[in-house]
Amino acid sequence: MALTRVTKHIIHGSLLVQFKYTENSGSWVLSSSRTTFTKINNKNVVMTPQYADSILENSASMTMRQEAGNNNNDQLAIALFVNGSNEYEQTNVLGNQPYGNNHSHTGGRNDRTAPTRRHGHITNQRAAVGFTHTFTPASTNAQDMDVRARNISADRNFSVQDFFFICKEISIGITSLSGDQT
Amino acid sequence: MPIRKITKRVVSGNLLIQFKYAEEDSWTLNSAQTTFQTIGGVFINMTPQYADSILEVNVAGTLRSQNSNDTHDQFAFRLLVNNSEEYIQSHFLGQSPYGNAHSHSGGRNDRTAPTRRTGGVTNQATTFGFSHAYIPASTNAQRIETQTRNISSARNSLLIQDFFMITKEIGIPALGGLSGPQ
Repeated sequence: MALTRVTKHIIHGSLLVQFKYTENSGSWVLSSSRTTFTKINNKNVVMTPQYADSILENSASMTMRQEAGNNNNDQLAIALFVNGSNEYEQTNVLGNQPYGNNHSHTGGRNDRTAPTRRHGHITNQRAAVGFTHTFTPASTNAQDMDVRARNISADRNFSVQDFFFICKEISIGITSLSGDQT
Repeated sequence: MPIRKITKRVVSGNLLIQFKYAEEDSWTLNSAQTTFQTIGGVFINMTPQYADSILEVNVAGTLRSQNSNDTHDQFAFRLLVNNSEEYIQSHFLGQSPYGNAHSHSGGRNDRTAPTRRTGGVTNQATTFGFSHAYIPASTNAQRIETQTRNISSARNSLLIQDFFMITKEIGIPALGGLSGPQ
């Protein structure tokens, strides 16, 4: 057999090592009293990095709906937790404030009904919520990742719907081409 | 030239096999449409090269309720694959007006529209988007599209702008346990 010359060609790049995802279809309700971060229906992804210098990339999508709300400043926050530690947080979701004219005179000049009360407001606020985040765990220990939500103002139940969470392990080929740029 | 021995080294990881995308600048959902309609008629056809590949879909855009001044005008989005609903996000927009009713403005028989609400919002607008993944479990072509519909009153049209959809096929190596739904 004739010898065939083999040319060695080196390609540097990042490899997608793992790709995991989880879903909570339908609705999960965050109670109004929950002002500490609560895991969305106990959904999580456990990923054990194959390489200590890998990047873990997270993507989360969902919608959030205020339940029967009629107060102002009802805000909530969501966060990515890794092994029980807050890795990334988004705050001040929703929380529109009422704005409108004050009551005017309704009778004589001394007859006012609630002159400081505002007329206008909206209720049942909704928003599409999601984020993309990455971090380098710097170890090959298992990473238990989940998304949590909390009430900031503790006035209202929130419904979290159609939650979808993706986690990827991306190995770093040449370190200088990838990683934290801050 | 001396013959050199080439050492084979196995690198385990996922391969990005296909990457396709589609765009729509501006498209309007008619107010009468309460059944799902494909945004701009845009779709992506992707034929998986491997039956156990993961298909990842990312969608982004903005939406605006047109000339809205009614309550509960809500919209939903879904990912449709081969005419089957793969993922849905519902309850976009739909903020309800809330405020005090008009009070007496004259004598006890002189009311001005006592049941009228004084607060509300119009022309509601928001960004939308999601990340999703699934395993088609076949090498049949996947027609992937994003749809939207009026949920409630069908009274307002919806303007979708800057719609962008990305679809990727990600091959899972024999090391299948490291990837997939959790």
